[in-house]
Amino acid sequence: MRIADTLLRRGHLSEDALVAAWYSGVCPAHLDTCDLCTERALDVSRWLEQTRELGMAEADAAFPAERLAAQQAQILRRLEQLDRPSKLLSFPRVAAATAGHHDFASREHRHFAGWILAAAAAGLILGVIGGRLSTWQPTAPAVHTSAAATAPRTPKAPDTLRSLDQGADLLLESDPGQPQIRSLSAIDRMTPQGTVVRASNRRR
Amino acid sequence: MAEASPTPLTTREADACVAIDVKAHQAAGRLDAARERFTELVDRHQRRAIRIAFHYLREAADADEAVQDAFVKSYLHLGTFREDLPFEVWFTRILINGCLDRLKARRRRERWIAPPPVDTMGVERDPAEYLPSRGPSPEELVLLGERREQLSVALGKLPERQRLIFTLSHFDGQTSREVSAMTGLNESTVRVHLFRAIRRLRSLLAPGASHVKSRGSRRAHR
Ligand SMILES: [Zn+2]
Repeated sequence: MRIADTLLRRGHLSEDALVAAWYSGVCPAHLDTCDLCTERALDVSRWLEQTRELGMAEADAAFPAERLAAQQAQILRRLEQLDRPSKLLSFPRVAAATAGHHDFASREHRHFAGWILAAAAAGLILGVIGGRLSTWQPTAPAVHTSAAATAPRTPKAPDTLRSLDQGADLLLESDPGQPQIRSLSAIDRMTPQGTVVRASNRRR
Repeated sequence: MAEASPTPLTTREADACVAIDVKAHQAAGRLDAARERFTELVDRHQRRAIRIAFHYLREAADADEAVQDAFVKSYLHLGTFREDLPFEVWFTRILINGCLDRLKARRRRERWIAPPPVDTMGVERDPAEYLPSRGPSPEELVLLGERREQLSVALGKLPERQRLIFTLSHFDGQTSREVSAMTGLNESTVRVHLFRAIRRLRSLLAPGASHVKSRGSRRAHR
């Protein structure tokens, strides 16, 4: 805190100084000699204590023990689901391999299914090429097409910047185009980002 | 001579021990054990996490989800957690970022969508509805509810960053150094925001200040 903030013009402690004293637990020497400031310090201290109590009570009332227990159960369910997919994902391959060993009929079935898949894929490719050809025009201005494709994105840039008001610049996981505060990057590197979480969810 | 009893671990040390164990279980594929051990971290940090998220987001359902997400993210990425940093700081940072994501999404939504939801009677549910049945008298409850309501309205009038810093410093009891580590702001900025928040709250909550009496500060508790 600046010294100018600490003392008012008439030599008394500022309110910020009284607040700072409360948080630090260090009593300014001025209070030993000034009744007025002692009175003010008590007032500030009462206010801070009451506000803390009220704020905690409000949050605790909204989240009583039962709600916290339910939340914890939900967290554990989510973690279980995240830990589980690795087993589920490998299932079809394992099943197919097993079937290959045991069951000739099912191998035959897969052979047939393979033909159906190949035919479907060929149909899809033909359809896509046909579609392209039917809309293709020799004079089609490629520049216009790409301009049209990027057009809706352009107004988004100022939009993103506008949302960067108070607090938003603290974001770890911000849009790639957003400016970053350098002082945050060290700790941000240590903390996971949503994209990483999503990717690891997929991997698991 | 009697054996000296081991010094009890600090929260920070205990957290680090749990984190190391969870990481080891995860690496060895003992996922049930990893989750079970991780529950200790949830137990220790859930209450403070919900207080932070609740005051910062000002919506119970949103706070609930933000806290869940933060624990899930920290479980998944515990491998990147280094024990030289308190788990509390690392975890709170994840929580704050999740909350900021939500605030951003909310702002985007509110640009297009109508006012916050209310119940069928058109009245937002009061936080006092969650109070346990035993305890203060009905009159005291009304008074307490009113004061909480006023504080809630006043907190809602603070800029988001001031509210976050006030919440971490005042409700969570963190020093400005800790808040600085949690938010990435430097310590003097933290103090400036804290003083501003307190000045503003004190003027909003001063006897006779009529501008905090309006209802509808807090979004519906779902
Ligand atoms: Zn004085």
